[in-house]
Formats: sequence, C-alpha cells, structure tokens
Amino acid sequence: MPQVRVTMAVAQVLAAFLVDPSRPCYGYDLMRRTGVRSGKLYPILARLERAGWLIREREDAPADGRPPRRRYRLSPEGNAAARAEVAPLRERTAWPRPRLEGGGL
Amino acid sequence: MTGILLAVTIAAAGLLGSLLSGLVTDELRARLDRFPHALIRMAARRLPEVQREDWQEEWARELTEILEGTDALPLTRFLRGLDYGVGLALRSGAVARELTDAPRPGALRYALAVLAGLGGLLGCAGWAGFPTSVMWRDSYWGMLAGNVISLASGIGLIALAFWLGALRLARCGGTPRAAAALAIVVCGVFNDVSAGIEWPGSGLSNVYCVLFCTFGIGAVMAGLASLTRRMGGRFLWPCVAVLVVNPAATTAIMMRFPDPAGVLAGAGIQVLSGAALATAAIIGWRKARRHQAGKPEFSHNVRWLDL
Repeated sequence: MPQVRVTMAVAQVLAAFLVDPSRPCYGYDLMRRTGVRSGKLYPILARLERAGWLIREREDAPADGRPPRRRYRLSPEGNAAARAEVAPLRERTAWPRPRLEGGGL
Repeated sequence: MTGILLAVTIAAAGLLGSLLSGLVTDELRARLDRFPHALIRMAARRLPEVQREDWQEEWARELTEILEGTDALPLTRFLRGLDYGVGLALRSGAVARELTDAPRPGALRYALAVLAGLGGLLGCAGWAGFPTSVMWRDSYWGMLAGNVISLASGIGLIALAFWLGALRLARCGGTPRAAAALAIVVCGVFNDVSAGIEWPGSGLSNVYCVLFCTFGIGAVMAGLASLTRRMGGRFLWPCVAVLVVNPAATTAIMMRFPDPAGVLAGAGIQVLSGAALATAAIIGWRKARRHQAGKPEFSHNVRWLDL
C-alpha cells in the first residue's frame, strides 16, 4: 500500500470523515464541509483510496429517480490511521491552554 | 374603442414578452449547464483509459447535484458548477498521477513545458506576422520577413502541439491532438485581431479586412470542433497543414503580383482556406452528432458523453 503524506488539506478531509466515521460522504459534501476545492479534493480522495484508507462505493438508487452517486467512507484501517494522523495536528494547531500555578481554575 | 384595442395589444405584448423571456431563460440555462459538463469530459481525458468512465461518471453526477440540487440558485449554481469543472480540468493530471502512481513531473519537465509554452506564444504572434505584413506590402523585405516568420511559426505550432501532448501538460486532454486544436483556435483569433488592425480604413481596405477575417473564423470553428471531439481525427491534421501553408501561399502570391491583383488573390486564398476549415468543422460536427444519437443519457437533459 502506498504511503500517505498528510498535508493540511488531507488532514481537513480526514477530519471531515472523523466527525462521524460510519457515515459515507459525497465529493461535493466534502467540498462544502472542508472548503477544499474539486481540483485538490479528488487527487486526495484517489490517494486515500489507493492507500486503503477510504472505500469508494456506489449508493443505492435514490427514490427520487436521480442517478446514484459515488460516495466514500473510512475503512477500519483508515479510521485508525486518520485518528493517529489528525490528533497530533489538532494538538499542534490548538490554542495554548493557560497554565495556572497551584491548580486554580 | 381605440383605448380598449391599445390595452388589449399591450396586454398581449406583455404576455408574449414574458413567455418569450421564460423560453430564453430556459434555453440559456440548459446551454450554460453544458459548459461545466464539457470541462469534466475534458478533465476525464487525462485519466487512464480503464478508469476514465468511472471517474467521469462520478464527477458528472456530483455536478448534476450542484446544478440541480435543492438549494441551487440560478447564478450561484452555475458559478459553483463552473468552479467544480474548472478545478477538475486544471488538476485532473494530479488525479491521474495518484491513480497510476506516476512520478510528479520534475523541474526539467516543467522547464521544458514553460519553454514550449513560450515558444507557442511566440509562434502564434509570429504567425500573425503575415496579416500584419500586409501593412508592409510596399517593402520587399517586410513581405519576405512575414513569409518566413509565418512558415516557421506554423511549423513551431505543430512542434508545440507534440511537446505539450508528450509532456501531458496541455490543459485540454494532454494529447497532441488537443494541443493542436488549441493552437488552431489561438491562431484563428490572432489572425482576426491582426487582420482587423487596418479597420476602419478606406472602403476597399475594409472589404479586405473582412475577407482576411474569414480564415480566422474558419480556424476557430475547426479548432473548437476538434476540442469538443466533434471533429474526426482525420480532419485535424489537414487543418493544421492549411494553417501552415495558408500564410506562405498568400504571401508568395501577394509578392508575385502587384496590388490590387495580388491582394485580391491573397484574400481569395484566405476565403477558400476559411471555407475549407469551416466545412471540415461542420462535417465533423454532423458526424459526431449522428454518432452521439445512440448514446444513453444519464440525467434529465444532460447528455452523458458529449455536448
């Protein structure tokens, strides 16, 4: 499996999946939720799918007659790897917490 | 009585106007929607052939969701669709790299592409040297320079087409064919811009301007027909040949014969070349339409594979 280089955009996409790992996401939904544009998103999705972190599947035919779309969901390995990769980034990008001497608030 | 008649006429005109504006809006909307779909087809051409249809289908359905979704406002939906299509058209090479595990183009390849691009721009500008040289038609050296520049630039354009295609860095499909088609469009535009330099002049000069512009119009038609895959491959390379031969032949005739016979003969060559290119575009267009007639449609009014 190819190695995944986790850039900030990849982390944003992974974080969107981690909000509810069991829920599959469509490409356009991911664009709206992460702010990553199509030209950047699809190479990331292709990379994550090749690495086995994402599973790409066709949805069941919708009742309103629209053609079924492709959607993505985290694989079990992808879920674990995403948590491992995103957590340190969250730590690094979080606001520093004030440390008060002697406990306190 | 006249007042009633006037009121009825105004009411009928208003009704007809609103009906017509509704029809025009629907027509515009349907035609505008085709543009982002065309961008997606363009983007998909850069993917590996085995996966192309699958990804094109995914992108087309997402685009349909953007264009026909419940929160789709008339202008916003089009702009979002356009943004989606442009993003993919510009970056589908990156998707192709991810799918095939191909290495990123190195600095040398980028440098070559930039050089090829600059060469192409110079080629287009030089190609336009021919109509500009009409202004120097009293000068033998001016005409000779125009001739040489046009011929060299035409050959340079074909080289550019192959370069960009071979480097897979051309934005429209990354094939020599697509790059050549783009070069034809650019040349057609350059031709008309430079032919229009003399407008407005004397009466006869304006007629020459119009005659010289016919070639550019034909070239733009042929290039666009090829870019949208409406023109068969067999037409494209003859069109490129016309593009190379045309300025050289026109300049040679204008040098051989004095004004006005030479200019008239040159204009005749321009009109014939323009007509040949336009005919090739129309034949290709009609053939492609017949070919597309049997293809399935995947969504309300959006054709699956072509405009």
